[in-house]
Amino acid sequence: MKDDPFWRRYWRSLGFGREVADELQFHVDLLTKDLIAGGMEPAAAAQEAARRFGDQRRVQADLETIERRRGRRMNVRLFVSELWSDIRYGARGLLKRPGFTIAAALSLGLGIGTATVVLTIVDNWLLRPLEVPAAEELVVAGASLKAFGSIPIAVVPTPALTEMAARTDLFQSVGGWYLQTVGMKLGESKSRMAFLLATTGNYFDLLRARPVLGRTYSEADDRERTQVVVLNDQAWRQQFAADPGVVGRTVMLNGLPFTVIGVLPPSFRGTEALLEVVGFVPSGAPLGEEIADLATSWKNGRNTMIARRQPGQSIGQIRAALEVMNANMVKAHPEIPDGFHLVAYPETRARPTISSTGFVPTIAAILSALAALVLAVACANVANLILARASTRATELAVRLALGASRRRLIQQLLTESMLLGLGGLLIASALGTAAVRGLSAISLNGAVPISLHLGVNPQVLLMAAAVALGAGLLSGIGPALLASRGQLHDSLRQAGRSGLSGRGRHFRGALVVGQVAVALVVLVCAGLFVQSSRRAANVDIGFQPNAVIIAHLEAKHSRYTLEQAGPIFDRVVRRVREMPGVVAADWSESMPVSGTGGGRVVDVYTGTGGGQVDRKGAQGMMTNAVGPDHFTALGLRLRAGRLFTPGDTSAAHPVVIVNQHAAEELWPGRDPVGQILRLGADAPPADVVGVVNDSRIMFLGESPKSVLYRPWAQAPTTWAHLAVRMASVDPSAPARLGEVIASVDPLLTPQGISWYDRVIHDGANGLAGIRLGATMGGVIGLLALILAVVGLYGVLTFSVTQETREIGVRLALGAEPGAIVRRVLVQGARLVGIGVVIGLAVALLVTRALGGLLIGVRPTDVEVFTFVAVGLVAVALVAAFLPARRAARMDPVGALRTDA
Amino acid sequence: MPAPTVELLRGSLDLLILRALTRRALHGYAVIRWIEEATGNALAIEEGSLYPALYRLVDRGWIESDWGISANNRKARFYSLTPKGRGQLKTEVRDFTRFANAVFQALAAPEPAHGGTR
Repeated sequence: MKDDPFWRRYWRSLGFGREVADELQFHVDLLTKDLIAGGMEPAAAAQEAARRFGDQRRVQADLETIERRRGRRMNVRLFVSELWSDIRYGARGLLKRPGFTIAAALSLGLGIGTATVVLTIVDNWLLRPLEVPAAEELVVAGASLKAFGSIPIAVVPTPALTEMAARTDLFQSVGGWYLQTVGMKLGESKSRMAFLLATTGNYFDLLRARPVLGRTYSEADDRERTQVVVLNDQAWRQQFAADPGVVGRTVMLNGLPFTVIGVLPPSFRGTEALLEVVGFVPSGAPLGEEIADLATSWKNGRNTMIARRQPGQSIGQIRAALEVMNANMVKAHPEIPDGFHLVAYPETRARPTISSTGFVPTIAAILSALAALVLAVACANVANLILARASTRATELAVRLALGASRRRLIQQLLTESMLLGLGGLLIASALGTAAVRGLSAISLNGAVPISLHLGVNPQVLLMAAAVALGAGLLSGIGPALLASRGQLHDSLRQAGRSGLSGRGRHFRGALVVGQVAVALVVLVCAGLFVQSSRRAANVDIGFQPNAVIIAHLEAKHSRYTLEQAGPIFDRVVRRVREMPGVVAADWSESMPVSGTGGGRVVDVYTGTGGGQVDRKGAQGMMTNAVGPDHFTALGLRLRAGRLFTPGDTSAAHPVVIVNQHAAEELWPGRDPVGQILRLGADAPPADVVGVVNDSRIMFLGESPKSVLYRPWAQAPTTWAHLAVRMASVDPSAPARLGEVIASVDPLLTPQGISWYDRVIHDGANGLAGIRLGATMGGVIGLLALILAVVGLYGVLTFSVTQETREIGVRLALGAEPGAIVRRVLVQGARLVGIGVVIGLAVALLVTRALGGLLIGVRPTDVEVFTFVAVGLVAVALVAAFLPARRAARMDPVGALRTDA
Repeated sequence: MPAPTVELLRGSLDLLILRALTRRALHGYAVIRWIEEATGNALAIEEGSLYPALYRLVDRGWIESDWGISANNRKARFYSLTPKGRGQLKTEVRDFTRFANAVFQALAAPEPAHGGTR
């Protein structure tokens, strides 16, 4: 058949397609034979037979066509029916061994779930470009300064922005934006704090972001300082009830009317990566603090840069061009600070800010590596389990091979089972992953600040997880399946305990379990310390009494008041608040301890009247807090020596200072601080120390004592103030009444975060939130690690019991007590767990030292926690070890000997 | 049954093959021999049309094939009726009988009173 295509000849040479030819040949032969028997000459008979057949080649080709068509149809039908029966067979097998199934699916699920969550985070933060056209052209430049090391800071001085914008050969356009907090008020509702992005007028054109309603603003709006706002989708839905007629409505921002001109689509949230912003305003609009020399200053920048590069310019070319520009700028402007240096990154590399560009990819790489490790461990666990189980089925498989089942069928069947496990794992993973992602998105680091992680699980990540799940199922199943199909499973199992190669395999498996136990212990110890910490924190003396105290925060700028106007208004407010029934004491301060508002201003401190700056071993300065006279009473800080501030300590009076005990000890060790003289800043007038108060926690609950210098509010005023109001009792209606009283003084005032102080400390980022987050995250990860370790141990022990079936059989046959067998397996498990626990304890002692600063009321080496975790882990591990041990002990010795013979 | 002659022939070949296989499995050559004998050599079946017919019947699921050993000890492909084929045979026998009877009846009818136009 010369004119057949090559592949068909090749196909036939393998023996396929021979059947039709054979059949026809058989027919011709019989016919010839009969003709000869009928008296014909053999040659004539052969000729006659061929004639009667007609064109044999054509007939054969026709027949083959019919056969192939049929074959294809049959193959599909066969495959479907085989697959279906494999699925049923596999599912039955899995249901028959629920322990195995749950362990394997859980292990896979945890691995895949972790991978999914990590992929989601990495994708959301780093990989996914902004959802605007040609997002790959977006570039962010930052300026590094010597004072900040070489890390670029996001804020770029305006003159540098202007110079970059002039380089139209590099950039299509250059814009800027900055975050702005405002008091926002809709209609008759109460004013509340919100975040906005103030942007240059070209921002939307630059990003090519289009509104779904109305319009965005332009450079003309920016120049003319129009009071307009473009809303984000979320704000439009939540605060305007998705009103389709929102365009044209008025919003009060910092007491000024702004007109809503447009709404953005949900896909666009702007260039701020972390905080949830309500919308956008032109940076020219009169909202922010005016910086007089903003346009020309090389020191006082405000904008974060965003630009769209020319399509022809690579990021490398732009960096090179910026080098040259930079050198010229530094030469032309002697006022440019030391080490000023512009550097550009693609937008996706500058998240959440350009400062993090160096370490975010590292963190992402570490996270991904960890996830891959967890997944690999999970797969190894499952492979162990499948191998252990396959070994118990070796006989069954061998019998089926002998009965004529094809190897292909057996592999297909075992792989189907692995895929089912993979699917089970995927279900668990997607449940876990969704919960985790939802949990992570809901974490608010500070009640007052709307952090948005925006971790949507996107379909691609889910698809990837599905691929990983099925791949993991296949991977963990393919080794055992191949072995089993070659009928070598038995041999390999028998050899596993003896030969060098498999012996190493066993060591490796053992080491894996040891590692898993150690990791689980470390994480659980950390979680335990956090849990212990949150239990004991309530009893820790933090230096003041936050119970029955209400705090609130006012920003005068949000109501368009200047620093000069702020003082009298705050005075009026506090006078009215003191008249409220139930109020014991109330006053202002610049910052409120442990509430996440920072530690006040930091100043260089000089003692005495001379020029001697206090040398504090390299530290920069001391924290100060400007407070009203009643601040100490309201918080419950105790006077140790001297006097508290009085209303007489006005701006006109002689400057005075109260120090805390730590500062007194630091500045005048062993001497009486009262009566000493201090200067807060090189040019500041000398101030008398008039009193000493006790130490308190300032920034975090877990910190060690810090030096604080208190100044009278009147002598160091600010435009913002924190109000502390001590009540005689905890009256649930008091916070609302406080809000009404403040509003009654001035309706423009927008008090923020009116709440009970102890609750703020309990929930706040600087209080217990970190600890509770640590306890939750540590607990979850620890549980995950524990489950993986336990499944790993279970798999290894089950496997080794199967390996030693014969030995155990001999022992049982020789009269060993089942108890002795159980002990033998348990000891084997205990050895692995023991080594893991010892290693884990050693590592934990090193790791927990780093947590010292976060823990409250618990030492990082807390014996109770260490003991509890270690004992608990060993107990759980022994339970896992007991299952295979019991199976070994219940083995039928005769059967065991026969199986392995 | 307005079947043209070619179709009729092919249809009857299928019918004969099914009938040949009612008792036992046969290979292709034996099928031809049986038909020739059963019809007293009145019908000669061509090999060139037998095998396509066999393959089509397999394709339709009326007969199935399996390799076996022939009387003279050679590997041969044997065809046998499937249950579906058995049912089909019944239907076809009934249809063909009705068809044949109708034709016979027409042939046995008295001459028409008036001749044709010819």
